Amino acid sequence: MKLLIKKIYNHPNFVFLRNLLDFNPIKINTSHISPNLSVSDGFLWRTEKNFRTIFKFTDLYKLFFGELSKVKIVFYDKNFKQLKSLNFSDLNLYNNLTIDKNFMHGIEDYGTFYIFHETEKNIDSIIRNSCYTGYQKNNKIFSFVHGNLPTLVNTKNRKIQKNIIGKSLFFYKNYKIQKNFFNYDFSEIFLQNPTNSKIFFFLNNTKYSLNKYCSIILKIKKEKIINLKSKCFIFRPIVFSYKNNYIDVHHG
Amino acid sequence: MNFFFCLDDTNINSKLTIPKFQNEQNLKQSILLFSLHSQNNKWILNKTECDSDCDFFYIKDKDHIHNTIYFLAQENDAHNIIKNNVISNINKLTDTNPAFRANLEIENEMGGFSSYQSDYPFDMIKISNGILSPLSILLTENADINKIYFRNIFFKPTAHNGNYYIINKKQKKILEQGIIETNKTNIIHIKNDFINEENYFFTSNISGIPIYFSQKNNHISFEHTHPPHQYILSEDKYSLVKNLKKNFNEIIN
Repeated sequence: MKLLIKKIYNHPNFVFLRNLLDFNPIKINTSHISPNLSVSDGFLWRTEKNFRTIFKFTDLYKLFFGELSKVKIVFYDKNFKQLKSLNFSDLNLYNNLTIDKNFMHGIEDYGTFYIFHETEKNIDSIIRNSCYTGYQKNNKIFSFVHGNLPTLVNTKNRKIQKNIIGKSLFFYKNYKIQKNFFNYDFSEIFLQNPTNSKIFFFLNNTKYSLNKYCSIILKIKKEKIINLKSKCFIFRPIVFSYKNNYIDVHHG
Repeated sequence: MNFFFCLDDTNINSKLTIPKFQNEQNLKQSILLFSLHSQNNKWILNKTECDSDCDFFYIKDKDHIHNTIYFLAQENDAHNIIKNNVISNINKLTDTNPAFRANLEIENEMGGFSSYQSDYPFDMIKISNGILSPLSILLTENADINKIYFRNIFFKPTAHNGNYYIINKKQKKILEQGIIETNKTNIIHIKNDFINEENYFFTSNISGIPIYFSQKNNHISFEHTHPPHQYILSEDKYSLVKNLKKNFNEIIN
């Protein structure tokens, strides 16, 4: 009987209901993802303000299974409009991709990108690419940060399936960044809506909205605490803090 | 339950900022900060006297004994942390999803700085198996300084030794090996020549968090690598990682 209740409780439809009603929600829901599929974190690229981005990624199928991946990296602008898509095969185990304004055909802006792995072999596992992005301003050292939020999954027919990060139907959630921001010249908060519908959110007392999978960079100055309030279960930013001539990048 | 730590590197200042709030809600104002350090194979518990305000505790290197660890607790609970001279899990104040983290910021003498949101979960302190981490991902080949801060917290107050290895996987060769200790931030300088995709940092019997540091023209990058099982969402994650480490264990044996 207990097993049956547990099964019902964790059934995808019941999980959907639990999440809507904010009743013991599953914040990162991967239960509906089939084996052999590849999940990607949402990564930030930026080329504006003399930034360059480097993506250091691992061929995960090669690492764990000794099988070569075919890898697809899809780039979007901040409004989730697809800008370009790259396909790789016969990769090294560890790979670097530099994203600058030339790579982006002259675009000096920011947005998101996702990486999906494919293999011909039937591998009974689900992999998540949560690799590392480095951000370099004015040709100084790249400051690295790891991926922090699984967002999209590529299905076998190469369509991008979504719905990993849930949101509540009724209730706003706080996401207070556990850092004191006051002593920096200023900071930038990169946010991506990881859900598949529009969200409204507050950064402290200011209201914003983001359409599905869209992204925004917000500048803050002389605030001690940053509280992000939204209906999204995990609304986790990347932080850029600036002091004198130096930059620090980390996930929130 | 999570623990927090400073770096204890004489060439770098570190500042640990521990929040008095979870991501989603505030903690009770009666929460205090406590510390543990080992002395003569015994854990020594102290209430931490440091700068604080209504939101954070602030700890600087100069404020503490090297390799001290910190945790949050109610005053009447804190003494329960040591039972039979080992660390116990005494509260859920920092059991959150995403993880409860402190900001660990480092700064060099020129003002170059970097930080990451850090924690050391209770579940890790009883683990004695090693870690595997590629060198080329977070270090910078042409940096002035590259090093790994390898932090271990062990539930017993002992400082026992283990080995770290820099291994070339393709050649199945140990390029360098050295001693690391439990309950310490071990500092391992990495030669720039070692930074390529064939080389790994590996420990076989001491677990911990490898935090990668690169400095060039006083600008710093400072970030930890994921443990390999984080790349697998399915239930076979630990068996896959065990398999992966098997090759490295064979090289060192």
